Amino acid sequence: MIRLAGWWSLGLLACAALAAQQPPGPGYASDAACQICHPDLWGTFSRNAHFKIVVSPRPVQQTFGCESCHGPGQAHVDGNGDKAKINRIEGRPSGQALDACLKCHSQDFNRANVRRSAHSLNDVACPSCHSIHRSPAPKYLLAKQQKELCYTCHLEARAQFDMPFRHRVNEGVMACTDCHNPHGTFTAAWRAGSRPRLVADSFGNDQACLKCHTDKRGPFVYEHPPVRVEGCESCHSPHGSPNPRLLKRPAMFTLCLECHTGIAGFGKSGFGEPRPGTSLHRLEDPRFQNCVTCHPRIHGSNVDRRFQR
Amino acid sequence: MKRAGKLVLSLLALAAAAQDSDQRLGSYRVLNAFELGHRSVFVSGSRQMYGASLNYDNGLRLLDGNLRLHSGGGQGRWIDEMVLTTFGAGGDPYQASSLRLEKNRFYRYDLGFRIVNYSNRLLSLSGGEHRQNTERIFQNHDLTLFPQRRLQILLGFDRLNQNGPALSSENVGVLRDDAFPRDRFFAFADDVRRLNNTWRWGVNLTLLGAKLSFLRGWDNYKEDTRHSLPTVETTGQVPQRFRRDDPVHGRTPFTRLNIHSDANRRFSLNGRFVYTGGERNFVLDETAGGPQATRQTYVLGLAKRTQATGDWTLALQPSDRWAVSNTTALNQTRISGDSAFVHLRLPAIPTDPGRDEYFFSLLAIRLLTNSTDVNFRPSKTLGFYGGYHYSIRRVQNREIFEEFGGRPDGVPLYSFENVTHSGIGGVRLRPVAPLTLLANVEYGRAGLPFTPLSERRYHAETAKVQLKHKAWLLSGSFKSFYNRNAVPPVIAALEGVASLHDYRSRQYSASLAWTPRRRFTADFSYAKLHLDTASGILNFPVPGQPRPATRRSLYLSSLHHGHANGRVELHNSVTIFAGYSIVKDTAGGRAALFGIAPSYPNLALDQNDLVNAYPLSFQSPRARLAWKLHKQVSWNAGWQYYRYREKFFDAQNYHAHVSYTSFRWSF
Repeated sequence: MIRLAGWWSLGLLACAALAAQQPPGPGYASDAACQICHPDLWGTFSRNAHFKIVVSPRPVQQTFGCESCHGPGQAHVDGNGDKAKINRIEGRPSGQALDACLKCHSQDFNRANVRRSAHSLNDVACPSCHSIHRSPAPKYLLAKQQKELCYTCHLEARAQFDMPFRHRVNEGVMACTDCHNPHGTFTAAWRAGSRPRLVADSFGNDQACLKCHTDKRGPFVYEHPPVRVEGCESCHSPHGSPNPRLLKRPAMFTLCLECHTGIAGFGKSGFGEPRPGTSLHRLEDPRFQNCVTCHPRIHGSNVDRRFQR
Repeated sequence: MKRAGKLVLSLLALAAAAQDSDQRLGSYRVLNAFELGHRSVFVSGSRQMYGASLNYDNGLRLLDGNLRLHSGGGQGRWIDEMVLTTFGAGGDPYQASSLRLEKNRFYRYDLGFRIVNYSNRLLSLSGGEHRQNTERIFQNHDLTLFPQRRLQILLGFDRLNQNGPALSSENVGVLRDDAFPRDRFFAFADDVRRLNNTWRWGVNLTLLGAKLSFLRGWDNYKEDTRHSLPTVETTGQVPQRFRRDDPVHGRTPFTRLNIHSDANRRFSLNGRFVYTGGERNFVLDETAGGPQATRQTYVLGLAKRTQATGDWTLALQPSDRWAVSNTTALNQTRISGDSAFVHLRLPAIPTDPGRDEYFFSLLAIRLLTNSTDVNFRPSKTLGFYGGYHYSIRRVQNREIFEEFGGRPDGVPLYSFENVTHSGIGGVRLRPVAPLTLLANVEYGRAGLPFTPLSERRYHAETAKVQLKHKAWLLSGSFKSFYNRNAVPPVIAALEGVASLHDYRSRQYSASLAWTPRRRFTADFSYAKLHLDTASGILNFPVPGQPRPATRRSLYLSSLHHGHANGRVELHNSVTIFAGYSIVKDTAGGRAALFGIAPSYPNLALDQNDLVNAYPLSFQSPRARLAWKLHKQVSWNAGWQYYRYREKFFDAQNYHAHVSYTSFRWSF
């Protein structure tokens, strides 16, 4: 496996050399010129994470202060502040904003897919969420508190996080980015088709839920296969739910029986195998309506293939 | 608690040090604010439900803390930037702190520290036999050396503890053993003790315009939860004695490699390779004793999982109008495990003499995905994108049971292949600068999906509109998803039963934010999340009948959510905030109450069908007042009311007043 990884990386590196970055050209003014006309931005810029570019004793990654993002500004200065002669970034198509930001911020694994992410496809680029000059947030230059930022477009998420049972995002102890990578993700190792989107992997290829719910991660001798194949969302609504344990149904046995119907054609036993996982209990008896009473290790078990201990 | 106390003291010391020098501390500029106060809680009704959904308690808290320190010229000796944030310290069920330390070009350190007290003592799961009152403590440490250089070194450590009491349940019954009847189950107490430690190191390297990211890590997991039976002396109760130890120890090493280059707009590539190993060693030692017999069970084994994932993306942008990308991803998961099972019964009986068995299980999943996306922007105001995604997944499964000295038994290697085709399309329109319109569709077909809930014949539609004009921000969105998963007619005919899972969800939402001036802001939103599913289920087996009856289960949920917030500043010294939110599930609405299934032409309800609906409401008005007593000190008071109501039962209803009063010191 290590050898395979080695060949993989060599191949990628060879191709990557073809896509090398070109250094910026002439036409740059200086930060001093910017400060004259933009004192409001300069006044608080020392608190800004980008201040490190300005005060760097030498250009950092071929950058030159304000012009590292806005491009050469001499023409803008010569044109008495002509807005058409400077890259304002904000309001431009997402690709242009990405070009400006990724000059420095593409080194991170977490931003490796930003150009083809669902956000970029929908013209949600860096300035949509980050306030580069005047961020009220203590970190990451966010334009608002993170959850409010996400709720601006994902209106249904606000409703889901106001449910009686929810992950504690509104309480502040969790953030959307604990489970999602808004900068784009690799293809998920579970489900299929186009989903899930923007869900951050645990360890790089496992489900995000298992970062915190480590007791459910396994491996187990007997795994509940849908957890691995279709993901935790088979049974849970991860943002919030009116039902305890974020379950998708208020009555547990109906949730379980929707898969354990006894009909052939589904499940790990494969197509054609009659009645995999049929429930044979008398379900009008209330004691059989709480399936996990007798199958408590429903996420996976090491000792019982029916998840009973 | 000790940890939280130390945190409070540290913050106070820092704040005091910062105050002595006003906004300057040496060559650093300091921004500081912290809010210390008392939280008061009054709950009536179900305390269990309150604990599960809120869990706040009375006491003194550091409600909020924020300390920012920046070197004046960006030339600090050891630190150029320090950002410390914290809230809830001192006993809130949700506490978090974060710290960032950075010295330009040399290092960046990020710490995240969170405590979550989780309580769930509800009756609605397993009759209250599965309860938890556990505390989770999360720590995340990340150190990046040379963060603005071409070569960055990454070091990290995460720690997760989960501790506390819990209840679980088990059915100890054994077939053909009257001493342990199969229909007996009981609750036992858990002392949950789980610990995860993750170490990692890696490098980010920029070379010849390509970005290389390598990460190697190890996750160690340890669970030493002990299970025991609360004292039960009732004659005839089975069992009367119970003890179980099932420690699980294991580790998950992982390696991640990513190479990408996107600085060149015309051509970029991106590749990832991740290999995750994993194993868990386990032992189970269980003793259950009843009035007539004792059973002992020992299990020993090893579970393994390897997961290898590779991605390869090529993206071309021949002009500013066109962009094409193609991604191929392969994921292979192999889970295998064996366990040796020794089972003793004293006194031995002929029907259950005790067994020594060996089990082996294999689950292998291979998923290959290829997706092509095209992005076309004919003008600045209009853009289109489309894509085709193809996935093929093979699931293989084998289970073997072998009695020691006996004949191996088990199931053959099952293989299950599932192919999914899906197409997506979207349009972006920005006719004028403040107005954005988005619409997406997705259409998919899958052959032989893995579960009846899986996507088989589905389509999804999304539309969004956003209008920004001066102080107004108006947003609206619509989402729908429809999936129909029916068992193939051949199988239906063979089995004589029909299985169907119809899933329909529709979400409508709208919001309005108005910020006419800094002193006044208001925002409102409304969302309706409608979901109905219809499933064919096989249940209610009746003795004497040749086969269980097929029924249909219909689930109806119609959630309405609304929120309103307003904030106003008066005379530079008083700020008032008021808000209200409500979630109300009206189930299927009026139609469901009258037993009319909403527009399922082939699923007209009859009296034998199950209708699941659980109408409830959860609402919460809130208000806050901040009164600036001094330019650096303000007094705050807040109140939030929660009211939870279920329509059918009232055992879990509650209402709670959660309030606080605090002083905030900032400069």
